[in-house]
Amino acid sequence: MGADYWIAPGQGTVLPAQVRFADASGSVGTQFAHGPVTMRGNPFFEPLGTNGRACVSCHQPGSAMGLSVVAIRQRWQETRGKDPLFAAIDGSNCPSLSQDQEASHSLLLKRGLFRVSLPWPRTVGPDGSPVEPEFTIEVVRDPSGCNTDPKYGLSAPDPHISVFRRPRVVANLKYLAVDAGANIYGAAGPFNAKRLAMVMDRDPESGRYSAMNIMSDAREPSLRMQARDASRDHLQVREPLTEAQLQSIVDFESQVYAAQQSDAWGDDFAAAGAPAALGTENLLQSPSGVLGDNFGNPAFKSFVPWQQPTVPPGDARASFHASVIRGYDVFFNRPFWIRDVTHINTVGLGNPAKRTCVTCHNLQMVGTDASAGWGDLGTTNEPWASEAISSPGYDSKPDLPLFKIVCKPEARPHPFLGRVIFTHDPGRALISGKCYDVGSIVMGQLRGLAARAPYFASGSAPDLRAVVDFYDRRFNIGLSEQERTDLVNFLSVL
Amino acid sequence: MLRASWQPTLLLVVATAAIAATPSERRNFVACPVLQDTDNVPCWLARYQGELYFLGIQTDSGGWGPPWLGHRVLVEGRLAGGPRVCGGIALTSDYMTSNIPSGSADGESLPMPPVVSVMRELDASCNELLPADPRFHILGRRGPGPNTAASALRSPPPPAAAPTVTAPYGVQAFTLTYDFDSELASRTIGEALKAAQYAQAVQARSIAIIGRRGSTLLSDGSLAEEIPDIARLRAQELAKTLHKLGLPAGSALSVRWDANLEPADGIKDPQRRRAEIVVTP
Repeated sequence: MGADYWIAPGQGTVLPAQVRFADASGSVGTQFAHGPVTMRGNPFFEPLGTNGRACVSCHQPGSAMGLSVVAIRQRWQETRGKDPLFAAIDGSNCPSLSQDQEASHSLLLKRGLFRVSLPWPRTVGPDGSPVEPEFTIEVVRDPSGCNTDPKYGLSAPDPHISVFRRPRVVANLKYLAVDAGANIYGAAGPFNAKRLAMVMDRDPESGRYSAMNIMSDAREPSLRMQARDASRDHLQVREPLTEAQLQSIVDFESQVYAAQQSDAWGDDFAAAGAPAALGTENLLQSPSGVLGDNFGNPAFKSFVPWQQPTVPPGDARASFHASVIRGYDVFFNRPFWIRDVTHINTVGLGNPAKRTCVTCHNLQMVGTDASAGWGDLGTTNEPWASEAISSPGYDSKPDLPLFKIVCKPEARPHPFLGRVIFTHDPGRALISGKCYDVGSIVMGQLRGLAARAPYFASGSAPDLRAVVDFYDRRFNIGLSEQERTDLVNFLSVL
Repeated sequence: MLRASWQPTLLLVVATAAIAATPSERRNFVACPVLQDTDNVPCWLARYQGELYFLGIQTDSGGWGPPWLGHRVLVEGRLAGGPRVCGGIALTSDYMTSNIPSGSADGESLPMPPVVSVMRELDASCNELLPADPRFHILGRRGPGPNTAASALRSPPPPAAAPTVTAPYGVQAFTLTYDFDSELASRTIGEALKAAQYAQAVQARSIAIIGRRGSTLLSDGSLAEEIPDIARLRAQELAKTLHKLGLPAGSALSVRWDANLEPADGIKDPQRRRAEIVVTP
């Protein structure tokens, strides 16, 4: 990671239309469709609030417009923890802790997790519709102290729950932040095609149905609302952003593309002859809304340019290319039993379903779910999210809060965990109030991965190998060592 | 998992076969599902009174709703005739349970699946997954990998236009049917959209929702009753749906439910698990 890895709020320089930063697998690229970016005066880059942060604080071009834990740690060291990134409100385990202690920021420094504080019990949905929670929440374990804190916790006068999540990627948004059905193939009008009987949330400002794929709990139906609420919750603005500021942020975000731009062997994905899905230019040029779980429009197109009849002995670059192609083949074609995943197995596939990775990671170019893609993969619910099981890369001391969810008798229970659930993060259920949604998280995109470890909303996978290993454990796939390596290499070039 | 061919307006419709099937041909029962793997897509089966019955194969979201291991299922169907499939006697339905053909076995088209409802609560004893059996040759509309179906390659369909409504405007009723013990009208939610569109078109004065509770006469003579709250849950869920779809300003929405059991005859029971929307101009 070079010295230029960090863009500070108010830095005021100009970003060229295409920038590259070294990452764990070569380099990551960020491309601005509208040309060079003058950061001075652009509200995405300006410290608009009271804590010195800007949007860019947590969405860095050097981290594929997300934020790697490597960058977080380096920033801590360089500033001795004084960077606005570590603001008490959400850059520490709890605002009530002593902020000059490194331990008070352990979740951010260790897993790249920011505190997300949500009102509970929730009474109203993002679109203004009433919400009646179907479950109660009991704090079983609270390492951060924030859920039992008298000011910030669940028993506070203004009760909130604190969960800890990774920042999402602010790039390639033409594939995600769309109106429901606007350009998603086969969308069922106002209904979520996956969940069949569910009406998508409307953006209360535009009145249009949202694709609900922006946030990890789908709580914000539009980029504009996300920016408005993030400026309040993360930037701590005193006054709401102006319409001009909001529009400027949305306009900027809508033309950013981020992806791996070269591999460790020097292959430049922007060069002619690179595979058709790789690099930022291909993201910019490709159409959005293409369903990619089929042979006609495969999710990450073709890697034919890297195919060779035989790999010459000792040719490490050709061997890597062959490995990436095999990894894509595993991702696309290797069936396994997808089991006990709410909103995947429950939407007409049956449980289990014999399918492949692309069944769920089906939106071409980004690998999210074309239909609002929240599901309980097991990254936040026990037993799969037990930290000793899910996070072998970390030490054994629990970092995350643990909640006991008890569903009310009349509620439809969680389909695979029943009426009592132990979770680190109830996910979508904190917004919908539904027991059925406990632990469901909106799938993140698969681009620029090498630049923004760790992975999953809870940061439970420190590297791509841990991601692959999690899936293998979760679904008892039986991946060989070669298949695991191939999948990691495939994911590393996206 | 977006499925292009899913149609929100799909209705459960009575076929003439409903009248023709004799009680001895009917199979209404609650049992653990059994998943039989094959070298292609797996088959779903269920055991009842010592016999193995074929329900259907794995399909896409737009097809029938296959069972879930970890839950018992209510099967409502009748004998389909024809050869066994995956070792089971094939069942079919009086109702259109899938709007897409699911596939074939040994070259013969599979019958329309029976009505299958996944029971609400967990049952850990339902966990039978049989290894792939080389005797079974199943071809699904979609295999276990990526889709080859032509429907996946078509252009996006145009958005559905609201229906044209002309005077004189009359009272219209819209009926949604449900899986057993479910408040989610997975197959019939399009009726709610029709109701909302009609209400908007006529600037309805009132919209009335009534949720109902059903039961099923099982083949052993016993009665499977839906949970007492289901009529209320259906009505309230439907009210939320209509609110989200949008209703005319000033229209009065009434939400009622009848927790009394609908009568059961073992034939038309799936139709009686329902809710109605009555739109009055």
